[in-house]
Order: sequence, then C-alpha cells, then structure tokens
Amino acid sequence: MAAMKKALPPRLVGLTFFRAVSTSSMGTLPKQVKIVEVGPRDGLQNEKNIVPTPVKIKLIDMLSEGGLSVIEATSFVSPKWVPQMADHTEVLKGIQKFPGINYPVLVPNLKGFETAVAAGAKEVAIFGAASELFTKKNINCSIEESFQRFDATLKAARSANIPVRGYISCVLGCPYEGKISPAKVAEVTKKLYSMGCYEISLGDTIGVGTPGIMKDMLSAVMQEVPPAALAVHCHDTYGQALANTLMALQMGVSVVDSSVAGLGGCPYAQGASGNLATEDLVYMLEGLGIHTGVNLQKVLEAGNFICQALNRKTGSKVAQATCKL
Amino acid sequence: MGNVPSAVKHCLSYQQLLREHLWIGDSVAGALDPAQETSQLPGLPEFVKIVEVGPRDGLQNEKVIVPTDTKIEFINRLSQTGLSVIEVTSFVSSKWVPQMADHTEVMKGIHQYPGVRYPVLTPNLQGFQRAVAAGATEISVFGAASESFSKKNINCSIEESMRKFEEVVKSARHMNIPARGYVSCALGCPYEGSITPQKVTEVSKRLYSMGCYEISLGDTIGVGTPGSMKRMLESVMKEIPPGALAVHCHDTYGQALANILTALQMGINVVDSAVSGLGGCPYANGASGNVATEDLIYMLNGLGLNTGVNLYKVMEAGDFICKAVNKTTNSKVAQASFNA
Repeated sequence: MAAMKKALPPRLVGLTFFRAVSTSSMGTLPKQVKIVEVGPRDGLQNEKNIVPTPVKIKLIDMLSEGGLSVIEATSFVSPKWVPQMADHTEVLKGIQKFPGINYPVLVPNLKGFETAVAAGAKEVAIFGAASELFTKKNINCSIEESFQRFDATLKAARSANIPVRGYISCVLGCPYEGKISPAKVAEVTKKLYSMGCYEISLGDTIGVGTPGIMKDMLSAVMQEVPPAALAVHCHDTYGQALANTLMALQMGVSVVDSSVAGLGGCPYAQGASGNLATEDLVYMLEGLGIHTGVNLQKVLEAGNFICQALNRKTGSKVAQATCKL
Repeated sequence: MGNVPSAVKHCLSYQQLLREHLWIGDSVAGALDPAQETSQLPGLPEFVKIVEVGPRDGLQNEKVIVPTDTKIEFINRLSQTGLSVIEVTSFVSSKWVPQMADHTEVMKGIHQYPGVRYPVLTPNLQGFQRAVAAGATEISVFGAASESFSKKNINCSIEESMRKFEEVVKSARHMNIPARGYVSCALGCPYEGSITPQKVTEVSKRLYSMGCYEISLGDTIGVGTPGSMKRMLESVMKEIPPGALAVHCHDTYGQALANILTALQMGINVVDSAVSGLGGCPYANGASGNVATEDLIYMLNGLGLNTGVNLYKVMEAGDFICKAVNKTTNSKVAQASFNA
C-alpha cells in the first residue's frame, strides 16, 4: 500500500466505532463476563523489578476506579519465597476498599490465612495444581497432601465467613510432566469445589494450550462442576490466550482472569510473555457486545502507570496501538 | 501461580515440552507426531492453507530497506518450510513503496521450488506486464471495502479500481495466470470507521466474478473481533463459497488468532500470515501488524489441523529476517522458544 497519511485519531478506534453495532448472537456466548484482575499479584509476582509499596497501592486504586469488580491484591506468602509480595500487609491495609469490589489475597497455608485476616482480608485464594510433579516442585508435597493443607485453611475460612477461590495450575500442560489429562483436572477441580471453594480458576500456567485442548479440558471439568463456578486463567506465552479464552466463553465459562498490561513474564521460558492482557480481553469482549463493567480507558491508564514504574513496555497490544498519540 | 521459585529456566522436561508442543524433532516437515497433544474441534476443516505474506505485506511495512540478496535468501528459506504459497513482492512504483523497488530482481533471483507458488501484487496493467516479464506465474490485485481508503490508497474510487483490476485479471486469465483478490478494511477502516458486511460482500463478489480464484478478506487495521468477523463472513458466504475465501488478520489489537479461530469455525480454510509478525501498522504508530505465522501454526497444530508446514523451520526463517531487519520478533512462540 502507498504511504499513509495519519487517519482518524486511532484512539480506541475499535470501541468507538463498534460499541453501537448490535451483535447478533454468537450462539452460546455469555451476556456478561466477570474479569478477575490478577495484575497486582500474579503479574507483579513475576516481574523482576521490586515495586515499592506506594506504587502497588496506587496501581490497585487506579484499577478500582477502572470498574473491575475483583482485584487480586497480594499474596500472604513468605518473603523468602516471593520477595515481591513481602509488603502484603501494608498493601492490603493501604489500598482504598471501594464498595462493590472484592480484593482477594493468596494464602498458601493456615498461617498465611491468619495473617491475611488480621490485615483485613475479606476473601482469600488457594493454589492447587493438576500435576503431581509441579506440586512437588512448587510446594514440596503431593496433590493429596496439598488438599490436606488446604482443608485447614478452608475450615478456618468457613468459620470466619470468608469466601475462598481455588486456583488450579497446569490445566493444559505442565513444564515437568508435559501433557495433563482432562480427567485429572476434573478430579482436582471437583475436590476443591467440594471442599468449599466458591469458584475454581483453571490456569494454563505455561500458556501451551490451544482451543481444542481447552475445550476437552472444560468438557471433562463441566461434568463435575457447574460452569458458573468456573473461571479460566490463560497465559499468553505462545500467543494463544485470547483464542483459548474465546473457546472457554463458547463453552459457557463467564469468568476470566487477566492482568493489566499483560504483566508478569513466565518463569519457565525466559523472555516469554505471561498473563493475558486485561486491555486486550476487554477489547474483545466489548467488540462481542458482552458486558464487563470495565472502563477500558482507565485500565489503559493504570497499565501505562505500572509500566512506567516497572520501566518496561506494555504487554497489551491495545495499549501499544493506542498510546502513541 | 502460587509460590513459584524465580526463573526456573530448565525444568526437567522443558526440552521435551518444546518438542511436544512445537513439533520440533524427527517428524517429516508438517506431519503431526502422533504423540503430540492435539485435539480436533468438530466442524473445523482438515487442512488449512497458509499464505505467507511476510516478504511482501510484512517487509513493505518495515522501515529498514532490506537488501535484495537478503530478501531472496529469506524467500528461499521460506520455500523450504513446507509453505505452499509465498507472496514475493509487489510490482508497484518504487515512488510509492521504496521497499519493493527491487521487485524484478527479487522475482528473478528466487529459487522457485516445485509445489510452491509465488504470487506478486500487480496494482495495474503495467505492473502486471512487468511481473509476467520477470517470470511471475500468479498475481494479486488489491481492492478495498471503503471508498475513502481506496481514494487515499490508490487515488481512485472503488468502482474505478475495479475497472483497472478487470483489465489485469482479464489479461491474467488470458495467459492462464491465476489471480487472487484482496479486500482491505473488511472489518473497519481508519478513515470511515465501521464498514458494513454488505459492502465487503459487494466488493468481494465483484472481484470473484471478474475471475479471482480466491478472495482474501483483510482486517487491515486489526480492529475486528470475533463478532464482527462472524457477521462479515456470514454476509460474504451468501455470495461466495467458503472454499474461495481467505482471512488476513492484523494483530494490532491482539485479536488476530481469536478472529482466525472464528473464521475456521465458519468453514474458512485459507489464512494469511507473516513470519515473525513482520510489518507494523501505518495507522497506529508502534503497533503491531500481521499475525505471526509461527503463532498461527502453533494454534493450527494444536487443533490437529494439517498445514504441511514445519514450525521450527519457519522459526528459523523468522530469526534470520529479524536479525537482518534488526528487530525483535513479534511472534510469541518464537519469543518463548529461542530464549529457553
């Protein structure tokens, strides 16, 4: 094509022009999707540069203003393991808690749970895996032993009326075991659900999945746990995240995890990308006429803020396309 | 992820994982290793033809002028990957597209492998004649579904452009040279905004009836999403059989693979892509352009769809051109693999 003159200001071109377009039914797509923003925890946890506490707090406050209804704030894990999350108590106490927004925190064990509650946590999350080897290397026990550990936390949470979200890693592949059977994922999901987790987030931890494998996994899981209690957490390591997420939506899943600016790399593939970018996810959902409640412009601003603080380029293509104005 | 230890670069079987998931190894080019993790989705085509547009659409949008020898080496490498269609160059005036000034030398210089086709862009009769003289055996013409885009791009209305293309396509057919038609702005225009599916259908139908064997529907500025892709294809497929259609998705807003998946679900089985995701976007400074061939192949392989293409060899060609153009790859698969 010949050299182009600058056209219309490309700012959010997609949204502006397509918001008014009525979307004929895509068959089984949900009308509404809840986005669980994991940038401040899963995202930052995998960033090399340690982010100062005030910056973390400001990021979360900016995300709160972006219309997100769930923002994972931090992780009550030992700073020996995850230095980035050492300031978990200060962060949870320092953020503005907007009404109508949940701020779940990760708790690896009962001690973490108690510390989290003392710091004001009203929702927690626990982390399992569909791979024995991954569990062994990650938390040094078997899957069965990890359930026993979770049991203590879940019991305590129930007594305190605190909802618990369950995460399952490696649902579409494991960096140690390779292929993971859908039946195994279904088994672990069913267990966490029956132990009391209100929602299970199924994570393609190393981003190796493709839409067919996503479908097979969800088909197996949905025979044991209702779709409304499921979420998908896709990593974009091989560029497959949005396509996999679309497949999950077609299967009836209506909760999707993502990370502002696609924060977080991948510890298993140096230099590779990590989480699905919230901006790119919102762009697709809005184009599909699916309600999210999220203000894309504000999320773009939050993404811009944290990337500057981290001195890194955004991992969101929407942000890349719109920021140079 | 939970308590993940930092930078676990070399997991026990990470190399094995790469082999399984990237289909690197002893497999014959493009053949799927039966041990691979693949999963066929019902309703998808069995075979997908990939049209590699890196050397033309990709390089055309790269700032650095690539030397002729490098272009030739690049195309020769792509020819050995199993790709069956590689768009080589554009017989357009060098005044408009300096990157393609060496079109004749490139066309004459490449090794034309048997079983591989090398289409070239020909905007008008003059370009067509030059292309044929240089040895071209397949050509493409580029229309648009937007009047404003057509005017700004080739300085004429859609109708005028169709008449020009008709001359080209007629001459091509006369010489038994297949012609492919492109329709730009199929899901949105940088000048007009939204484009109706009806307009896309009208232009596509025009190109098809004048003799183009295949129409590539291009989301030129990458603004489309699966919903708009579906609506557009529903309209076009009322007039043109799916077997004669292709999609050309730009990844400017990260939507390309999701849009391509949608197209596959609708029965399309020809997809354009550019190795390394070459080419930026002239309409959004700094934004990405074409969908990366590597990432596309990864998805197609995972879906159990045959492409005939060896992903690892494509990654090597991508590595070669990125070094030549001095840029980092836009392919996530390449990013994840070369750093492992």
